[in-house]
Amino acid sequence: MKRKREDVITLDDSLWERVMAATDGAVAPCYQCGVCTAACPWGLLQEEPVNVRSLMRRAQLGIHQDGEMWWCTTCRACEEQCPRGVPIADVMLALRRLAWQDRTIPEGISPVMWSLYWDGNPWRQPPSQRAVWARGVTVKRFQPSDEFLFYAGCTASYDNRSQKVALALVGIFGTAGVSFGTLGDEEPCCGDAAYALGQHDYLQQIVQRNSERFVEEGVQTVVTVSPHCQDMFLNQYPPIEGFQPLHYTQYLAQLIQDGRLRFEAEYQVKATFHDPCYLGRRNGVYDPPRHVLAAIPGLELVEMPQNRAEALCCGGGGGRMWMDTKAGERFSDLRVREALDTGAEVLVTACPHCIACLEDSLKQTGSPMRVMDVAEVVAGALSAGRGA
Amino acid sequence: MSDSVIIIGGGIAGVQAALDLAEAGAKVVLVERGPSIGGKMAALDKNFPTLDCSVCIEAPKLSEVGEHPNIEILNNAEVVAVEGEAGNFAVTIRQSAGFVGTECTRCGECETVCPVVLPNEFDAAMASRKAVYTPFPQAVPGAYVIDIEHCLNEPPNYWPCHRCSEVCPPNCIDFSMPLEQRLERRAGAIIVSAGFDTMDASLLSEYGYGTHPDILTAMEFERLLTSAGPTGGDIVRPSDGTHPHSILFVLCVGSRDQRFFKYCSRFCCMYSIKHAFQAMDHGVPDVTVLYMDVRAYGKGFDSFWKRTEEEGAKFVRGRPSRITPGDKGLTVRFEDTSERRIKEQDVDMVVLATAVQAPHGLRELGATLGLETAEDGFLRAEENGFGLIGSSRPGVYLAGCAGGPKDIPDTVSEASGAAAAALSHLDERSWPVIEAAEPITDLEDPRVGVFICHCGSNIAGVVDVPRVVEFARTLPNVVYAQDQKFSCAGNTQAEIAERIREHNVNRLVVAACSPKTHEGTFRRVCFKAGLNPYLLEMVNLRNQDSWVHKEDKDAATFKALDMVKMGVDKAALLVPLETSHQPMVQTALVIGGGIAGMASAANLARQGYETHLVEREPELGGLVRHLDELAPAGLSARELLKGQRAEVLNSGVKLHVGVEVEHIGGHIGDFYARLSDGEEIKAGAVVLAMGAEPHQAAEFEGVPLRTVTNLELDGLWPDIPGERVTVVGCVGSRKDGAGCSRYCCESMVGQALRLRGMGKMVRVLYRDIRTFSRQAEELYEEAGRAGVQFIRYPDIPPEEALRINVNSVTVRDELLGADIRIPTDVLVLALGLEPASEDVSAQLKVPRSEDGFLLEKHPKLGPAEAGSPGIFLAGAVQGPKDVRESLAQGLATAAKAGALLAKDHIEKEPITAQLEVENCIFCGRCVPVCPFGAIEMLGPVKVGPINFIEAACQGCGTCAAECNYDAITMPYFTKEQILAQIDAALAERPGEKVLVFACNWCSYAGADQAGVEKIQYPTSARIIRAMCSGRIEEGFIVRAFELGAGAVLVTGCRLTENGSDCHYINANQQTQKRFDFWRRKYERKGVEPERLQLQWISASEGRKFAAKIREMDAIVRNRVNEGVAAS
Repeated sequence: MKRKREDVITLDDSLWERVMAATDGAVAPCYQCGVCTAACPWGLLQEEPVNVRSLMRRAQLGIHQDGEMWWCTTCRACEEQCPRGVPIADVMLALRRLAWQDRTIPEGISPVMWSLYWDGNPWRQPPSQRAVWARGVTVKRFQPSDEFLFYAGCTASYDNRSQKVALALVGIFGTAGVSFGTLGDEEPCCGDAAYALGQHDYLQQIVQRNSERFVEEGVQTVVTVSPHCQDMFLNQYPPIEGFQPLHYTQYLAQLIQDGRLRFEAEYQVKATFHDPCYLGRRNGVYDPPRHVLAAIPGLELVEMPQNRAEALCCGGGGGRMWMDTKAGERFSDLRVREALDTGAEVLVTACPHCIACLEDSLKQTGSPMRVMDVAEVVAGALSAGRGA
Repeated sequence: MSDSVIIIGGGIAGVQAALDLAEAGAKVVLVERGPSIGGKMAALDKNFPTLDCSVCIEAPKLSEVGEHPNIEILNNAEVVAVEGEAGNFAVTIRQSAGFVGTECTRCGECETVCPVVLPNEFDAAMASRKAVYTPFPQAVPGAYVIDIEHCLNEPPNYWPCHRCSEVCPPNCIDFSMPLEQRLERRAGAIIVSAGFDTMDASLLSEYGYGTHPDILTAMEFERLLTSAGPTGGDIVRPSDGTHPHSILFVLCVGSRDQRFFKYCSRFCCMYSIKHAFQAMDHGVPDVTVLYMDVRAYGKGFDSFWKRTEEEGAKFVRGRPSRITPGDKGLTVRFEDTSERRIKEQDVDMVVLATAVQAPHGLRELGATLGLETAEDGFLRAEENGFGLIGSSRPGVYLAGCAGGPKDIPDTVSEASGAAAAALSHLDERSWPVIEAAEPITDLEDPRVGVFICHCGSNIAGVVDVPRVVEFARTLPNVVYAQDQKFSCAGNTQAEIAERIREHNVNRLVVAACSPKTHEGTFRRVCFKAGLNPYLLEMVNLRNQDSWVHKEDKDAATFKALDMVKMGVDKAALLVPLETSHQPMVQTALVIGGGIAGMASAANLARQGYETHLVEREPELGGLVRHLDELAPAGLSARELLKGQRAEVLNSGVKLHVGVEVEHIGGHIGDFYARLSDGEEIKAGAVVLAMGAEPHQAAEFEGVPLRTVTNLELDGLWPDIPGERVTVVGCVGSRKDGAGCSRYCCESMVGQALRLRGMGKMVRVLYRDIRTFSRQAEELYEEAGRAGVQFIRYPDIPPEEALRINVNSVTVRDELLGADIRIPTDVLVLALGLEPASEDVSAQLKVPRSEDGFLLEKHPKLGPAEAGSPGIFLAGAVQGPKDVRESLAQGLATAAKAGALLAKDHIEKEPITAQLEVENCIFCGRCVPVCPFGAIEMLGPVKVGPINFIEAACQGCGTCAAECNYDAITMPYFTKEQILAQIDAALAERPGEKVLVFACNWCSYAGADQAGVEKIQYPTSARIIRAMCSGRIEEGFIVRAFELGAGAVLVTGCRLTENGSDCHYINANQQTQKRFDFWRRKYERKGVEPERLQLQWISASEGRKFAAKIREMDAIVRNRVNEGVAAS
């Protein structure tokens, strides 16, 4: 993936037009200030980090790319500061899409797509096992009369760690007494992996199929475990009448505000919150998770220096979950250090990818700090109440 | 119809428009929201690129406005309603009370006792003020004001606090004033000059403004630099008071940024370069500027940038992603885009060039006036014959930043242009006679009054002012002496006038700053006091002493004593002089019928003056004739010209088309021109509008690719050949002394966008994209979005940067860091502008600046005037401009010329040569040395008679220096007066001194410039000013050496093989001749040649002046050390 230097690059108009078409001209207004390069988290870790600006420059001129777009975690830290409003992450995905067309995708990507195609999930897990996470609890099949569809998503369905989050949520919903259902083992993948890896054509099929499915099922409100799934439903799916995808933190914040969810007892813990990129920068959901945490008596919330729109990415977005990242080059290593510096006992987040990355990094430090999902903290606080 | 104009906003735009209108006989109501006029310019330290002291050049204009009988200033006031239409507006103004009456003497007692401490807005809140305050020392109107919002009292109560009213000596603090009053004024036209605000830097949270004290805005830094600012001009870190070792400047903070303001704020590049320069000058060794495109678009801007870079400032292309406080001060993270590397730089201070934004309340003001606000937040300009001056309502005009960001010269041009536009709505003019005090007639025995100015700490920080005052009191003829904090401030001026009358002073000496900037101010003080204005002598303590001898306070004080004695002794010999009245031919001659000349001529004709417009081409229109669509507004050039032509015809301009000016001469009030068709024209004012010529791109001739110029391209629409078009900028610009051509970036962006719209592949090759004009940055962005590829080539002329082959252009893309080959069918050359070939300006002796364009009177405040009175510069003749700028400046000349032509006479300064006929032997030697042919020998030599033509005489004094019989007197620079200065200068320790003769226009200004730039040199120089070096006569040299002067230096405007910079055509040639003679003579007498020297020094060459004095000082010191000079 290292760039090679050509003597003279000849501009190729047809290649440029392909890039323009794929990116919808998004990169054209970039005036090359380099703030993206400086803002990109890779610059904090790598000796010769991705030069986002150069990548944009090549796209602007329709010059062949060396594959650096595969590094992008689509965290959008660069876009926050881009003075020309270039949707840089979208450009990265469009370049990946061109790489699929040109068959120049890196190794290891293609099996993820095959897994998605054959198994309906990117984790190469059998579709029949999709509902196994809910084995110990009673979760009913979704009915249109339910308040919402609970969408667990692939990671919370199959990954042992994230399954606990889904279960915690089921418990919370029970306490609050809300009616909900899932699609059980018929739950389809939202398509995030296809989106993030630039498999645009297949993504369109998934989106089409799932949209029809949601209409058939009479789904209106859908509450997701992962911000990635919510972002897909919200921003990548065609508008469906009455369809309202919520991340569970938004839903919990609403329950608390409506008085349907109350915390009876103190839950003494010092916590810091890591904003998932897809929840925060992508969809501006900064306050609901904080409101939920703030509602817990006894919980002390401390902020990391980089929070909200400035939050550092965990490194797991943009399909990076399915690519190798060298030890010592993980964003989450930095993020965990930042969290430790706050003196918090618990690093709270609200995304399965974030949990996986942050826990991996935290293990290396040997610190007693724990990584918890907002749902787990809430469940803990509720059970503390019951215990008392 | 009406005789009045309402001006809203009293910054430099409002001030300039008010003065132009008032001079032309209009009545002006100047409505200012704040307590004082002066605007942002008054708060600035220096101006780029000349490094003029900002408030020093503005303050005289402020006091002129304050004193002008045609101008009413309403401060603390806002326009709340407007009715009527052009020619007859009824305007309602709400004025809030200041609670201090006009009897205020600015003694400051109230301020001392006021218990309420508030941040001082004028000091960018870095210093404090009280609730009763004056924003700055030179504020106009001069009365203090009470910030009633923060005052402890609620009027009309004098409770709970009455400290101020208790101590006020004139007892003028009055809490019973009505909180506000509504005033009605009628006006024929309205000018909106509401200025700008700068954005709140804390909105860019990533730059940390507000989280750390050493992250400053540019305005805060400006106040740090100012000697009158919170630190007395010391750059210190607010965090710990230490001097920073490193400063980093960030450009485009909020500008060119879709999150905040999409437009370019236009002047931040230049002030940041200025800041970088000043930081180094203040001893900060490590200075970095982070930029994206350096928009050094004006006259001398590029060379100032290069100079700053040569001095050691690092210019890095990049934009920070984060500024964080760390162990070593502040850490700035950015990508150095030329090295393609991320850098983290530790610096002691960061300065943010925050975006210019519409002033708060502009939208509401616009609504009151019935004006539309544009997307950028500024008022929408109705661009046609007025450029950016026209608003969406007839009779209402925009000046300066109300119509988008602008620097000072562009603002001043627009202000004068708006004044001209406003004048066309008036039908009555009047010039009230200024009430002079009862004239002081007892002038026989000199009674000298001396006023010594502290100029804040500018003088008093170096010179022991009280000691100088004590010394002055001991001098012969001095009857009164005192010091003043700021002598130029309105109330201190009044104080001088009072003391004059109180102590029967009949000769005034003001020891302050330069007569070049303030003589007019203090002459007006004399006039008001009833003293003849020519009984004033200024002593230039600031520019020629305290600023240049900061390190040696004792020697500077000793020099000040000498200087004051020189001033007092000259003053004792001054005699009253009366202004003479010369006839004014009330006709205008406009030369050049391009867009600027047409605008000027039509407006002058509309003002009612006979106006002649001469155009050598067979039709009017100039370069605009070759254009199609005018970027960035997309106006049709054809329609614009059609309208302008019709306006020229309808206004009654007398056209001379297809005709050249063959011969031109004369002077203000009385110019004459002979045209190639034999017609002769007499005119009182001449507007030069000969435009510019596109560069002839010989360097691209014979390239193996089809090339068209950008002008040719405009003639081809819509039949543009080729599918792949590459446009290259800066062809002929920014090299060999030529600066930026200003118009081309926006023009090529516009063309590129149109070509792209036709489906072509379009590339634009540029050095820096300088789309600084209103809407131009937005157009640049639009072109990018449309798919125009912009390629930044290395910072060298394009002919060196491009390799052109058949069907392709190869160039290094600086942004990619690689060479790219661009398939190209047609190469479009965006041609720079060069001075037009013409000899009219040479015949009129209008000098040229470094870039070959005509030299303006002042680069900041006099862009539309030539140095010689009665000659005006419209459009590109003064420097490259786009169409809207040319229109503004064309109109500006109409305001300036119109003000002259409004009266049937001009007042002539009484410093012209006077013949003492009883001494004259009619030898006739003076006749050939007069550069103006103002002396006529009417009879035979040695018989006479001889005639001095006063109107033609310009007062250089070359004739007087030539005369051996004392038969010619130069008033105000008489032989006796100059000898008295020499005697005073050499009274003590003459052998240690260098006597310097300097001419008013160049070398004296050069010495002033050394002061402005704080270039330090030895204290031995004693400077004597004359109007011209041609005035220096042998007797002066004789006296100097008789008294034992260490050395004598004669200086003047530059004289080279290529010509003379002399303001009296070529009078300095006489200086050269005489000097050669003196030198031979003194060499024979045994005076070492190095002790008598001649040096040409231009007004900008402060460095050269200082270097020469250092050299002369070494000569003098050598002699002293060798004991030769012991006396």
